[in-house]
Amino acid sequence: MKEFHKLIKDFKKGKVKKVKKPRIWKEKDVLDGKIVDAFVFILRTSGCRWAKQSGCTMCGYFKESYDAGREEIKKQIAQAIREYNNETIVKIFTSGSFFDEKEIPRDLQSLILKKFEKAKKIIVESRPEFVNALEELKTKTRLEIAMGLESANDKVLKYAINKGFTFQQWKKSAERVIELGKELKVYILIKSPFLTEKEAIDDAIYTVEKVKDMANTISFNPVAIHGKTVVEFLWKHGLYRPPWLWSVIEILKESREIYNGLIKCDVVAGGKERGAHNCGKCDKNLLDIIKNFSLMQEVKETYCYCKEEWRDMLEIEEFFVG
Amino acid sequence: MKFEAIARDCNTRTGYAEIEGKKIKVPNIFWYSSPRLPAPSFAEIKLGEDIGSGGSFFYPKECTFCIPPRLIYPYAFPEEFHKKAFSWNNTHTNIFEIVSAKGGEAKNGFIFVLANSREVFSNPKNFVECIVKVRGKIGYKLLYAPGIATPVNLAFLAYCGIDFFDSLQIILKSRKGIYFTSDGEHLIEELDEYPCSCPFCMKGIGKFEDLLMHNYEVMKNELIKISQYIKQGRLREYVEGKANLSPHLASIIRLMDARHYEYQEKRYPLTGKKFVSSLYSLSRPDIKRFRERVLNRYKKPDSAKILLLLPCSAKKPYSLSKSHKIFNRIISNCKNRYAIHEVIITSPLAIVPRELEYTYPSAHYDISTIGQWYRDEIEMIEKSLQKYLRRNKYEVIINHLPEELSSLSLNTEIINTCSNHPTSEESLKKLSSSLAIAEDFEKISHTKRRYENTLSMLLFQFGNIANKFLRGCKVKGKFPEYKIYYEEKQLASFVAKRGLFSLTFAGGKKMGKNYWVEIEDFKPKGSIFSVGVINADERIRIGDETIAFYEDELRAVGVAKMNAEEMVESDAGEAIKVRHYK
Repeated sequence: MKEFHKLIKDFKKGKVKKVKKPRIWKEKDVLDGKIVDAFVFILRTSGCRWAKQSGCTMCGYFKESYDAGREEIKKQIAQAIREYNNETIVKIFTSGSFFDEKEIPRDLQSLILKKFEKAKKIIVESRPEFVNALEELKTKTRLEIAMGLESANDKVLKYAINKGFTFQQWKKSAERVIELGKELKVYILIKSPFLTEKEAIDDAIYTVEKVKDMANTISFNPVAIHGKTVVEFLWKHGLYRPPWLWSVIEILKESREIYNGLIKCDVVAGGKERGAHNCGKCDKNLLDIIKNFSLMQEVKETYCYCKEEWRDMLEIEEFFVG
Repeated sequence: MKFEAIARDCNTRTGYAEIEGKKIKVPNIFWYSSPRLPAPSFAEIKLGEDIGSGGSFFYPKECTFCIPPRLIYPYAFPEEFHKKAFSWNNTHTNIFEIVSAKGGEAKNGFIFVLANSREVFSNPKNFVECIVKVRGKIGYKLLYAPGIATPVNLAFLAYCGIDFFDSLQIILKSRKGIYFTSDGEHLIEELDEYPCSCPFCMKGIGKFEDLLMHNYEVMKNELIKISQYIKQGRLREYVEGKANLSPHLASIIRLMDARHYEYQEKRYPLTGKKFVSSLYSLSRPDIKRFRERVLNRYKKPDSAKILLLLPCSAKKPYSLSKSHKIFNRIISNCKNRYAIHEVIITSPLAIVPRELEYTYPSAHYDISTIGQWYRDEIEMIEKSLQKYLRRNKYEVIINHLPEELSSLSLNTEIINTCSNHPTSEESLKKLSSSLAIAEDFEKISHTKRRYENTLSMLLFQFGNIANKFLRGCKVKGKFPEYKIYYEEKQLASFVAKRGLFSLTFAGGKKMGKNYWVEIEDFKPKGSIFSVGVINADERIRIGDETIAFYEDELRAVGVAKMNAEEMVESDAGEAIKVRHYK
């Protein structure tokens, strides 16, 4: 929505500290039902092309980017390879799209895939408009393409997130990924701005319904308040509350019932003011349940008095009219 | 669907709305109702049950009698967002219609729902601007502000012109363990006794539901209290009293006064009952209107050459007080008493010429006086007097005000007659001897002065047209019961209880098309309803003498029950109470 361009640009103003080193860590993940080690490698690139042109209302990842030239990207790859210790899964993320040549030149995309070909599975992220690159990129390794959809509701995409594509456009790319024999991971946002808590749950489930036959993995992203974003502005004005952890659990439970693939959820800033949180007393417990869910795919029941507060919100929030 | 206001006060009213065949009181509370959160037994209309929700733009729901589906961007967002949202909202209305300060014009909704109400309420400036702007769009139609009402702020919301509230905020607060009284919030666990005898407090508040029900009781009682204050014309007094409970709420009335005098002035009735005045009353719109009219419309009796400044009295009208009876005895003894013009100096009215002492709010305000004045009061009085003296010229000024006020700087020569106390023997002696100066001036007859007093009073009531109206007339009677005659026919009489002149049919004729409304072709008897009013003179306020014409034919004379704007806009309710008709 064009009204968002200027607003988002205004919020992006001001100094941002640039980090030039890649971020690398190791974590647990699931592969074919088994818990395995994963190697995560975040490349610093020029960043998301959409973020430069306009941007999403909740995304502050533009701050992670800097204009890394070809040689610097090569250096980052070399460093990652040095630290790689044959983990089963390799996740290679930029703060944009792996397949965008403006971020990583095509031959370096190839090089990266080749360097990690011993992994059982490589996961990369991309916006849908760049997935045609897959036709040129050859790799023997199992490859999963993670594509942020956020919501399958076009109104949410346009008027709340400013995602820059419609569900149909996204779906075409998703189908292309599948045609080319790759796996598809779908990111779904939990609680886009301008939605009520109840709508946020409904929106996530609606989206699961729409992608459940295409996705190998669904990964839920509860909104965390990134600096210099529309959502941060709303949050600072008391107009946005990150999702309740109860909502996250509700979504995981309902999704489990309608979807057979792998469901994941990493709660960024969980339990903190800027992340999905509850009353403060039960947050740790619920975050553990969610973390456990991502590995075991099972939700453990729990209760806290704040659940009533959350239920009140689910009932009455829509009557607030803003 | 019909709304009829019965009583008006400040910027609001009480009355009845017919919704879906149900007649409910206005103002009223939409009580949220669900199996988990039941509404109280006394709920007249239920939110979530009687009134549904159409959901949002993103996930709209089918509904007919509901808060319509809507796209709401924050008030803090640029206007273009609101324009965009408006263009969608505008096509999704039922009898409820979303209205936003930054959106487009209102359509023909029956109840308007204020968008961003919680957000704007958090900032008194935004809130006040928003309400006034929205009222500009919807006129005198019904306005609902969702999600903000509590027993503490309810009176303020009503004061600003909100008709419908809800119980949502109480649910949230109750869940947080907050126990309401009419004047504050308490944490339930900190109370070792309950200052309430509702069934829930009597039984002892054990669980959330008890607390919620107690809070609902408090809210209901507050609503009843407010409705009663409106009917008594005393809402402002109540609101001023509550203002000290919270700076946030105080800011709301202060901002209304400071920035929206015009909005308020045209809504405030012209007459009213006795009320208590506080420091907030200095900017009370009907008080300010009185001061403005004294300075801008009123002119002193022409032949009065001596200005006598007198202190006010607690008893009203002043002339009934002990002190003023004493002053009157001294003035009566003066050989040329009608050359003297008595003017009472007071807060918060500043200047009350004796002829206006019956006129609202001169005879109606009550204020604590201990002989010490606030700077704001002194400043207001001084400025008013200076302005008054630029417009009204006297030969001599005698100041019989107590010491605390004798330092008023009036840029002119003054004879001070008061030492220590205005009624002390010494002061009265001095006053008496100073008033003897009146004998130096042309002798003024009672008849002449009475005519001039009448003109002064008429100027205050009707403005300049009074000159033309009174030309060729005779005035009879003893103050304040002045009667005006023209060619042996009575035109008007001063009704002390109203503090205004009431016109006869002949008086209406002489007044012509002033303070007049244009009505449809019918014979008005007891009342003229607003449906019958085509046009109305914008000067008309609630309580004004009003004259009704059909084309060029005078049909009735009566008292306005609405202001001009509302008479033209609204389609139900009494616009004019008819006194004389053809």
